[in-house]
Amino acid sequence: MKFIHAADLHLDSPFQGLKTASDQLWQVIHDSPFVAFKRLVDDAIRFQVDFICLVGDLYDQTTQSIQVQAFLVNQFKRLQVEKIPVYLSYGNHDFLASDSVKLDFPANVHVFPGEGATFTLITAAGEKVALSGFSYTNRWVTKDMTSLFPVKGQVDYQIGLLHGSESSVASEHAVYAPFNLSELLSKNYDYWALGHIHKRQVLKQDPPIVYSGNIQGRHKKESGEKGYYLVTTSADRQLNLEFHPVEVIEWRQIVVSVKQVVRLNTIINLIEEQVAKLPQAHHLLLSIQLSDSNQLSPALLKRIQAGELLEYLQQQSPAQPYLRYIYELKLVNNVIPNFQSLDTQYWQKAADLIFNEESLQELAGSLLQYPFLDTLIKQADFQAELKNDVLTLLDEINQNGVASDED
Amino acid sequence: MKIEQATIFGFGKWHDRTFDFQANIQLIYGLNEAGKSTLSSFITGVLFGFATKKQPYQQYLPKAGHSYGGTVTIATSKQHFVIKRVGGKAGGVVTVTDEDGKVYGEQFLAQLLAPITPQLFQAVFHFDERSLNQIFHLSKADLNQHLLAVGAVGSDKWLQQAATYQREAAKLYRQKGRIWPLNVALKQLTELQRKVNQARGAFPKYMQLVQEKQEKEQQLAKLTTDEAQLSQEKGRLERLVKSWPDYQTYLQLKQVSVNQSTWLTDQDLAQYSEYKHQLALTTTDLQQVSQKIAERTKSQALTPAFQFYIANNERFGQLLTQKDQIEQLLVGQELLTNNQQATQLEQQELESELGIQIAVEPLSKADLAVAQNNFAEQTTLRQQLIEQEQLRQQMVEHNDQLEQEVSKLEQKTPETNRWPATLGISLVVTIIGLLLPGGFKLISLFGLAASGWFIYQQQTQRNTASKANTEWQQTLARLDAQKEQLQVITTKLTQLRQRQAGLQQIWDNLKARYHYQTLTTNLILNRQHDLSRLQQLEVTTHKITEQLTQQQQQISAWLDEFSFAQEWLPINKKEPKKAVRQIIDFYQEMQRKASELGNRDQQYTYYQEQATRLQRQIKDWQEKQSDFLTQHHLVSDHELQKSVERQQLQSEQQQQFNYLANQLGDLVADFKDYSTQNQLETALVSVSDQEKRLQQQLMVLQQQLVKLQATMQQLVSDGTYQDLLQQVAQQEAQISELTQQWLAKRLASEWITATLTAASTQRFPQLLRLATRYFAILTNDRYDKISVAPDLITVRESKQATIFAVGELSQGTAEQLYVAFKLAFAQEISDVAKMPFIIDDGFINFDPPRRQAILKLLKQISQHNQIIYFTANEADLNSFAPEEIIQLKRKG
Repeated sequence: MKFIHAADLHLDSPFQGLKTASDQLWQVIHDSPFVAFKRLVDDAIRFQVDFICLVGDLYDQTTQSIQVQAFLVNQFKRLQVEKIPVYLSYGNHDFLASDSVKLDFPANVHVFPGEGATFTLITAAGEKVALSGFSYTNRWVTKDMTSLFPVKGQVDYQIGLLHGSESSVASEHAVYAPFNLSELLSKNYDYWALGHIHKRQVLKQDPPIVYSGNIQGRHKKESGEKGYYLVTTSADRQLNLEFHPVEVIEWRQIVVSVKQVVRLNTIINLIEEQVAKLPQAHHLLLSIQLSDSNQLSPALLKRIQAGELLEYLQQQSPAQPYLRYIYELKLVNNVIPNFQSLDTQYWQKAADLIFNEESLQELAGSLLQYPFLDTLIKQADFQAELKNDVLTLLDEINQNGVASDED
Repeated sequence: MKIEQATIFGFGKWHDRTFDFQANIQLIYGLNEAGKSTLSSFITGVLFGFATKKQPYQQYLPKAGHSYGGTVTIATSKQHFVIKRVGGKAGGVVTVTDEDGKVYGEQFLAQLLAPITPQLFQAVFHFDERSLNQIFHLSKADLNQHLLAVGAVGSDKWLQQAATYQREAAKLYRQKGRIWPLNVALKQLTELQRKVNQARGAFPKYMQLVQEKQEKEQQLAKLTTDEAQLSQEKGRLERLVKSWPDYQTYLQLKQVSVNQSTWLTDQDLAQYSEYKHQLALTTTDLQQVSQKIAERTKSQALTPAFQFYIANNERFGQLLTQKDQIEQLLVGQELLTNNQQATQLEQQELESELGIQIAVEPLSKADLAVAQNNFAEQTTLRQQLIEQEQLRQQMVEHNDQLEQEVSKLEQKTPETNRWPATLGISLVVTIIGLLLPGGFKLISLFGLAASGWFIYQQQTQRNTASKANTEWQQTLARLDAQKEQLQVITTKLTQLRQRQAGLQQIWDNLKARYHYQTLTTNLILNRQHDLSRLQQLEVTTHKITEQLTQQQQQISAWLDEFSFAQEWLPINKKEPKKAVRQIIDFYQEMQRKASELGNRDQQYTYYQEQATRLQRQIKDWQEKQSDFLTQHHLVSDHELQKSVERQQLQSEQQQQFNYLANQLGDLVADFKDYSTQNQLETALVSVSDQEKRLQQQLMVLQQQLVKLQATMQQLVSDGTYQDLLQQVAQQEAQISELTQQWLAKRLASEWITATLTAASTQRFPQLLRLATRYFAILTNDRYDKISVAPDLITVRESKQATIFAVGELSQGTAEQLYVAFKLAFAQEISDVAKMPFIIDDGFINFDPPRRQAILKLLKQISQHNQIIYFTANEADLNSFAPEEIIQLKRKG
């Protein structure tokens, strides 16, 4: 048995958190989820897999993109020519609503219905495989859906396709078909192909209970390599997992220390040095964090804050086959300033008043009507970032001395 | 900070004058117009800026052409500075020179004085009568504001920075703003989202197109089928049109083949030919034999008549075959003639008996019945009429008798029976009179009078005439009854006569219809049989005449045949019987002669026999031929020839028909729907038109399909939607970034303010404690507590514990409270800033004890804050040491 497990294609989701980019990069970005999936299909054909499991969130139901569906149909047709069946369960983003408008997929695509089903097939090696799964019929599935999965039947291998989150994870995911491992284990399946969580992770080794993660990162938090699992059986009927990256662009963060740096050029060199060390496998979207930035001179700090450095770095179009785009440059400053004559206790006291979600929300006011800003402001790391920014601002005065308007 | 010296170049009344302020508390005494306020204004002016042209009286421009301005020497904890301010724009041009002779500008001065701003200096460190009144408007917020400003070292800078951040933030985003980057970005986002929503419509549109395409394809399939059918139909019609002439021929031929009646087979024809052939052969033989006979005959001495006969032997023989028939006809004629005569006789007899010249039609059975009934009824009616007439006559007579009787009786009762009529007349006159116009109405009066009179007359006569009257009345009644009966009979008579007239009418009609006008009723009713007979006889006569004519013609025709032998056999056709006899006799005579001749000549006999045999044979063949013709319903050989020709033609036509039928095949059935070529052609044009239309539709449909597919392809390949989504994400990223910047600035500003607030809030209780203490000192312990509410400041009177609002205090006490606050404030912030107090005649409302108290307090304060006290109160001089006093002299 040889099959591909992938999930969360999110074909029509845009890249989050990019303000500017070159036309070339925009094109790459636009094409990336499609190219990534094409690579997956290419591989499926090259490896002559027995079948493909796609565990939900192929696209976003709400966006209703015809291009995406037409693309999927085309790719599935390629597989149809090669007689590779696709087992597909819809997830919370592409849920199978009664009023869903979907293009008809070719006959080799087997879609799990909302009430669950088990499909069987015979592999090229003659093994009998059963695949069980269900599709979301709503944006949320609060029920534990494991009861829909039958216990392993008279087959060589049984695979479960489950788009959902493990119950132990954050409660915000509890509305996505929560399950627990012991329940899954009780089904006696040989492989659990999980979807929904974009970070690739193996919850259990034997039998494998696996999130394949998404195939293309779409924002900085979805950093690292993205792709699918190629699952094969060895002679002793043991399942071997092999991760294959297919992503077109990878999001990465690198930290560059600017300790004792006095010139902008030095910083540029430090960054370019680090970037050059990065692997040359694909395009990269880079977030660069300048640590120890409080040691920079006020003038340098100001120039960096004004965006001079980032702009320069972005303009450096590398002559490499792969793009290295620095989408953000962050000054990392954790030192609370010790201002002359103003007692630190007052700063600390005031900080407690100012840096909390409530006062932030009050300050943001009507901006919160934009859901993405509301979400942003609630994020702890954003709040930390904001404090970092404020400190950097104040640090500037601190270094300049209170009376800094001289020049 | 301490002010050590002031040198005036020119300021108001002062010029080229230097004042030294050595003591911590410096009393400057002078009478009014000694220049106290001028000096005070000079010092604050050099430190914080001269008044501008907007306040010309505060400017103190020198009158006598001295240069405007001067210097003030100050001492800080570190060193001395000379502040020089001369005239110039916006408060004058200032320079600061340090001990090393280094010169600084205005900013340095501000820094030097920080955190004391002109406003704060005025609020805290400067006293004059007017400013003391501000106590009535002082609020906690003011105090806090001042405190915040001086709450910590450098707090003014922090505040400035906070304001800068606020400004910078406001340049990024304002809640109601439109032009600021974040506002713009948000607006752009809204616009983008609108586009996204628009682009989202593509999917339903695509699905709609898919459906439309399916429908169109179905339509196309249907139209294609239709088109194929039409095309086929068109082809069929075209073939029909092309084959129309053939079809017409076909139809004609078919008609012929239907008409075909007799049909002679080849065998038949062969047989007939054989007959003819044999007949010809035999005839030839006979001719030869006849020739031989003629030769033989010639050799004998024969009569010309006989020779003629021999020559025409055959013809005679032929004609005489009808001999028996003709003889029979002659006999029949005789019979018929007899018959005819008998019939005519009977007819004549009947006619004379009946008295009619021409035969009339007898009555039909129904009409006969009608006539008989009619006659019977008429008879009865006549009888009844006679009876009734008699009855009537009797009654008339009887009537006359009764009338005579009545007239006799009437003479006995005169006029009695006349009155009603007379009365009637008079009443009528009355009525008529009423109807007449005007004066004629008098007539009615007359009539009325007459009526009245008659009635009266009648009344008087009634009783006397009673008896005679009864008798008369009875007779009269009988007469009336009689008359009535007479009337009945008359009516009945009339009815009977009408009935009789009706019957007579029917009778007349019947007679007219049968032309019986001349016939008597008796004949009509009783001799109908004879009439029938007469008619029959007439018919018979007619028939016989016809037969006779026909037979005579037959005989005459036969006789005519012998006209060729006129010379030898002259016959009179007018006497056919005789003529026939003559012919038969001639023939028998000639046959006898021929027989005789035969007996004489063996050879001749032989030929004769031969001839007879041949003649028999000929007859035989002729019969066979004739039989054949009869058998085949043919009259003559000629007809047979025609028939054969026709048959041949038919055969050819049949072949052509078969060929055409084969050629036309199934088309024949199709042709039935069309009676003319025109009709067919019209149908073809119609189908062609339909086909064209259909092809047009097909073309349009195909174009539509191509277009649809193109649109669909376009929708599929259109990346706008993804682009837009990405743009939204990008825009959101930008907005997030701007928001982050904005929030950072705002937070920085707020953090500063909050920190300063935190730093200054602790100072407030301290300030209040100091102010309370100073107020107690100034009022000689009359008040022991100050409370500061947001909008209200109250004080407590110590003995009675009465609370007073500021407005309730006397002017002096209120001023003392304010002074207490100011001094307390200066004291509280002394760790941050130490400024000299400049008091310009500040305590004029203070009574002597409190004045003493304030001076005492000022002396205490002057230990850390220099005090320059301007006063016109001479008594104050006693409270100060001489070195602490500068006396100003009033000039001129």
